[in-house]
Amino acid sequence: MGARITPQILVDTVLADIQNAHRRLAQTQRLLSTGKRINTPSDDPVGTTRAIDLRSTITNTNQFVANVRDASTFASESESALRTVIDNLNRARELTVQGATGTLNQQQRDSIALEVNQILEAVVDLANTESNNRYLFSGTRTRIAPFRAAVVGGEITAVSYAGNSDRFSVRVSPGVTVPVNEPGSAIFQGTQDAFQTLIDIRDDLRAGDTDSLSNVRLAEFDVVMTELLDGVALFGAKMNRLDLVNQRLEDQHLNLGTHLSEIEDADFIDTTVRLNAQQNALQAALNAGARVLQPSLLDFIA
Amino acid sequence: MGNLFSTLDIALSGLQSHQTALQVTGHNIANVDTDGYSRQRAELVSKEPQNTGYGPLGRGVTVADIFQIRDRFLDGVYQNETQNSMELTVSRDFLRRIEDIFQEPSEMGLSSLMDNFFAAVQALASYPEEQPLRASLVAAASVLADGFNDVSRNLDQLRTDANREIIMRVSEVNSLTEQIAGLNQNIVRAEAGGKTANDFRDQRTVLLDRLAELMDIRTMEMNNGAVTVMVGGEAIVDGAYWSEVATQVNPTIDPERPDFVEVVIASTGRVLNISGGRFRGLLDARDVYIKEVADKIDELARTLIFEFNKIHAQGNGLVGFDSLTSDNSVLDVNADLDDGAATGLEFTPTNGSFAINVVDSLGNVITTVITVDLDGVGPDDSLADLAANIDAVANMSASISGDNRLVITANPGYSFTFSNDTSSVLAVLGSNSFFSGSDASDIAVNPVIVDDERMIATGLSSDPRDTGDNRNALAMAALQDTAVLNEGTSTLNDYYGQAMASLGVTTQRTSDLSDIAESFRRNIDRRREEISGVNIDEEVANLTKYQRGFQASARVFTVIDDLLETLLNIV
Repeated sequence: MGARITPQILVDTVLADIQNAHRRLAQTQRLLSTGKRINTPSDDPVGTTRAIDLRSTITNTNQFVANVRDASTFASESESALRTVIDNLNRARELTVQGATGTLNQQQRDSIALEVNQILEAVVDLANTESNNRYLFSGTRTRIAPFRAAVVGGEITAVSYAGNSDRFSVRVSPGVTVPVNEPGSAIFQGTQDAFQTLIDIRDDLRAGDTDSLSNVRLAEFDVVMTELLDGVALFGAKMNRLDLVNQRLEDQHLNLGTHLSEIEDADFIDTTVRLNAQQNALQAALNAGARVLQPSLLDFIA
Repeated sequence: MGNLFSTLDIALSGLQSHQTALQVTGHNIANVDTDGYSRQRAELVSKEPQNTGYGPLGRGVTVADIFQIRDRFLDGVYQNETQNSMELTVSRDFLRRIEDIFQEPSEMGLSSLMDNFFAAVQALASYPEEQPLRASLVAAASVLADGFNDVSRNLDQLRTDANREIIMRVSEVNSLTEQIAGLNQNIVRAEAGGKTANDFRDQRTVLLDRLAELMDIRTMEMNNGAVTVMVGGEAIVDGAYWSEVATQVNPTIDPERPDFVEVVIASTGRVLNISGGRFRGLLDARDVYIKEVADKIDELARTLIFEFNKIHAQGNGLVGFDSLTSDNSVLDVNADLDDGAATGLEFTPTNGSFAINVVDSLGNVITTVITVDLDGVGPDDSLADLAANIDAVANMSASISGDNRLVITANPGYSFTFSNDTSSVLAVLGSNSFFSGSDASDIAVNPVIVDDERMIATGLSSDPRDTGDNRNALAMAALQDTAVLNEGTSTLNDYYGQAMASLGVTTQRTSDLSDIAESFRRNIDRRREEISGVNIDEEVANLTKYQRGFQASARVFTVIDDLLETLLNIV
């Protein structure tokens, strides 16, 4: 025998069906209005953990990109300052060769000395270049001008280093740091002091000591140049490395965003289709309810 | 042999019986919408026949019984499913509210706040000299701390809500048990004559159903028709008697929440062992689900505070300290520093040492190593010993404040910094620490840092000229990738992600189980309704049937009446 059906059962069944249809519709509507497939951890516990992980990696990657950008700026400004120093020194070398020739008179040498002195001042300024309120070549004493000139009678007689020999680094990925700066002491005052060489050339020119100029100073110059070119190469290498890191980070960033979207975001088309189907189901349930709840035997016996 | 008068009796019995049957049908129809009503039937049986020479001669009809059509077994099953379903539904609702508090996965969740905090640490590591970046790190840290505080407060509030509902629902239990006891009394009285008290029984079943929503009841029906209602071994209804239940605070449920109550029998104070229904759901939410999550978030905040502070305490900011008062105080200044019970410190230092660097106005640094003797051999160091050891350093003085904090002061013209703390004592005391507090409820940025952002210890060098030294900032940033939780297997973010996944799984499972239990409950209810529910069509059909029976009996009556009149006319 089939189950006995009472009006109460019909009412309960119809109400349960309508409620279910409403609930499913509400869920789908939430998907559409938030655009998110996962709105609470229980929607997809594993997806939630992955989304949290990915979001964290994205924030980190953004920061790494910013770190790399800052470090690149610092390295490229350091490199360009050094290149300008080298240009200046090349001119100074020409002047030294010129001054070493015996055919010049002292007055001519004095005027060359004047130009060398200007180059000296320019090089000290360049060695004290700032980027974003930081001195490029003072180690980690970033707020202290690295090279202090002792001035006698308006002219530089000695240059001392006020920075330190420390390097600072930036994080470019978890567990990986890249050193950014190079202390100026090693570049400008390593085996041969660039400033002192210029001071000595100026003073030799004034003293008319062509012998020292051609035999000692030019050789010293070569050492200074080597050190500066080494410095340029060092920053060039840093920039290359940072470029590679940057490229990798940006690729990664794009992928991460796509992954996160795949995990978190609702499929718009699929959801819209589902919404329609569920709306129809709700209509049907309401319709059925309206029909099934009306008639009883009382409607037919009079 | 029969006679006309006895036939008149037969007709009368037909009229009376059908009238009763009509009355029962009318009662059914009237109660079509009454909650818990079971349809009734008048049982018509033929009267005992009279033995005559022709054989047994019928004597009409009588109503043997008015009985309910119901399956009492289903009532027990239904109550069982109800308590199961209600327990799960309440748990599910609280779990969803917990999920709402965390707002994961989104940019507003704690995970994103932690990400932003560590990003700010890295940004500062890139430019440790920059005041605005220091300020933005303090801001990101404050937002993170506020996020922890909010989550902690909201979880606590949720536990308070559950506790309050337990207190409020108790009166509902008492009202139900009192009414059930009253109905027991009525039923026993009504059934003393051997008949069933149908309507009282229906009413009692409704009340028992409602009681089953609240707690897991076991019912036993006595021979006299009364039920005994048992919960966790206690009879809360026994015949005409009922035991009042009450709530009673018990500080051992959670020492941090002395306001939490348990449900007890009012007269004896014995704890009512409830293992189902709404109460169980509320107790589980309060003591298990919310607490588990809150404990994890506290552990997360606690680890962040201590691990970050341990790194922070190794370094120094853009300027040294002139004077520094520890953030945490001790209960007993003479207690060993690793005796947490005696010191009241939230974290524990270990045997080791740290260096104190005294810097004069020319930038000359003199470093002194302070031993923190906690090796358990001979006398170990107390806060008083530590203060004395620091006090012995040239140009330094150290003392203990009135509220038992360590105060370190440099002589005028000197400042000091710390380094190489292998004992963690600085982080434990909150000297040169970044965060204050010990869990999610009270995590905050150390006021020393808020007052002067230069104190954020980005560098390791004690020389104040080394403004670009970011080694300690990088070390602090690296904490994000260090496995500091779950015995060194999970990073802070891993741990949080696992906590969220486990919350999600519990919620998902409870929600599924709740749906299943609810559909079981519905099914049983439907089966009960199939058997006991009133079907109008059926009743109307019966109405017509009994009407016809009544009319026919009346017809018999008129026929006999005619015959009698015929006889009387003969006389």
